[in-house]
Amino acid sequence: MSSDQDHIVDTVVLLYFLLVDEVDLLSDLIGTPLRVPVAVYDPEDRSVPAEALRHSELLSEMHQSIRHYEVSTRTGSASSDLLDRVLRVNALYESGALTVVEMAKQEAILAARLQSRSKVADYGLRVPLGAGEAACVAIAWERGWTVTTDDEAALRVLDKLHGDRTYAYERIRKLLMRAADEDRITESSANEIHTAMRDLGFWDSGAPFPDA
Amino acid sequence: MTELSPVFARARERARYSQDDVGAALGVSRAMVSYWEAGSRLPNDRQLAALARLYGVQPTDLVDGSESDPSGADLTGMLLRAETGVDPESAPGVREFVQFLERYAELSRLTSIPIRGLSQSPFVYRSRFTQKDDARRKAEEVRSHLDLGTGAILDVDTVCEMLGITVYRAPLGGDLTKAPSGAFLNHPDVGFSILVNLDMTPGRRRFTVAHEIAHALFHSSEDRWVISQGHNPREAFADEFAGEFLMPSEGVRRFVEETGMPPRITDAVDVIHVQRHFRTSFPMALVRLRQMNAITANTYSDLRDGVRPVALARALGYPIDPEEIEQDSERWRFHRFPRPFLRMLREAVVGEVMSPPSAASFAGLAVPDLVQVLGQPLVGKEEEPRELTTEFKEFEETGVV
Repeated sequence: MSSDQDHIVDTVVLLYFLLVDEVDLLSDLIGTPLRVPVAVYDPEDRSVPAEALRHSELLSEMHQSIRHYEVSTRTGSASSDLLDRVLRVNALYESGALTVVEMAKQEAILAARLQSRSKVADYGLRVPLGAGEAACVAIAWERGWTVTTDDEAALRVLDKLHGDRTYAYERIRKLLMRAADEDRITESSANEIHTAMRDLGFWDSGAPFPDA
Repeated sequence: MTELSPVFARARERARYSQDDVGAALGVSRAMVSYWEAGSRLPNDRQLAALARLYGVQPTDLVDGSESDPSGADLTGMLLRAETGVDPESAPGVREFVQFLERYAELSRLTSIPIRGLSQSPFVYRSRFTQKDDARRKAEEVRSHLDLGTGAILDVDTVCEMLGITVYRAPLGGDLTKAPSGAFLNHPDVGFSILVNLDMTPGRRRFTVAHEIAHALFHSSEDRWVISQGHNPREAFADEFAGEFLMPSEGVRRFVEETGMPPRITDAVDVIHVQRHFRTSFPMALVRLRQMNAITANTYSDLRDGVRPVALARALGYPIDPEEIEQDSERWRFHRFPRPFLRMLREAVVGEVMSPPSAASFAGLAVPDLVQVLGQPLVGKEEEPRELTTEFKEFEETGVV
């Protein structure tokens, strides 16, 4: 299915849909290909040599997550299923179901400001955004795309930038509610997916359908 | 952004990285770094953010050409300056240590939670203290101050917390003829801070923590920082201190006696029991027993070269940390931080000072790393009390309470 409106997806949303093996649902909901900034997924850092792994915080955010599950699998603190699921991001990229968006100059400048301690107060923040979230905000703002994120800080910046005007955004819980409303899944499935994400550390406190 | 290319080179030089270092860290060739600096190519968005993190500058510095000092530049420069002889392979770990301390101080300001760091030693030290007995007496004094008795110290990090010393771990290189085992720094905002080289066995890391405690408590009045490398009277003092601190003579004697070992140990099995009880490395246990005259010089020589301590410990049923066989610094990527920092980071997330993704980025972690190091769900889930309640009831029904 192609998207009615362009979306930019941040790491948390992509990661948790991958971890619960529901990335196809994400694609159904927001359209294919899934678009992410380079800071979220950089195909070039798949081939980073071993000596760079000591600096894995310099990799793209999805690759850092892959490193996390590689180590967790090796040390026995996570099952290899989770690693396999996160690694699916590479297959999505290879098949064209996920594409990488490079920022234009103005977007790069805004993203850099959102990651810089001395500038973030201008955007209502006390702490800089991460590279992926900053890129999503910059792309969404400059291009008028829908941002798909569960980072409150990123949404706060968009609130500030848009002022009184509304803007389009998606969050995980909202996506799951829409999936049920569109009869893609049942309400109880939406709750189950959400619970599975929370069991893996996703911090949303509510449920899509508390009464289901 | 080609007009910004000189900024890349200057930021790199101020952070004291070579083009090779940067290429290795980012997974690109040295030539690519050179192209960026010459303006013939541009780093992509991910690489730009990574360069800012690596150089300790703000991303805007690289994008709009403003140039602020790298985070902790003066302290990093001080630790790395040529006369300390820090091996280039160890330099990134030292930089990482200083950048962490800067972030810790920033986190404290953001959360308004004070860092209870020691910045002045409560212990007396005189530079004429160079004898082995001086170091041992000081180790006893510190143990007594902390009410540690003479038993094994299960967790040296807790000891550091009790003292108000921050411990950070980073890989500094496995060749200890070139790489330091650790370092001490009295940071202006964090106080006494210890860096431990991750490229060492778990037992050696514990020894290094104790060694650096000696530098913090007894050498900080003379020097703001110490790189633990090579041989000199202060290093010898810190070694003696660490030996007595982790394996107090009285505690070792009592253990030997209570477990029915002979006063003169000859069997490698007994050395393993001592080593495992005090959670040290096999060489340290052997050296301490020799220092205490609990083994003869001949036995020492025989056991020094004739024992496979990990295999023997496994055969005796002791649990083996995989890192005793092969060091895995990547595994420590999540656990390199001191617990007070992680508690503060958790407070920042729960108190909504930071969103979880911002907190992860702030600490240089991936989101799943953050979830793991903070140990519990970040919001919304309460601990289920049922299991414990059942266990309590079982005890209470026996009438013991």
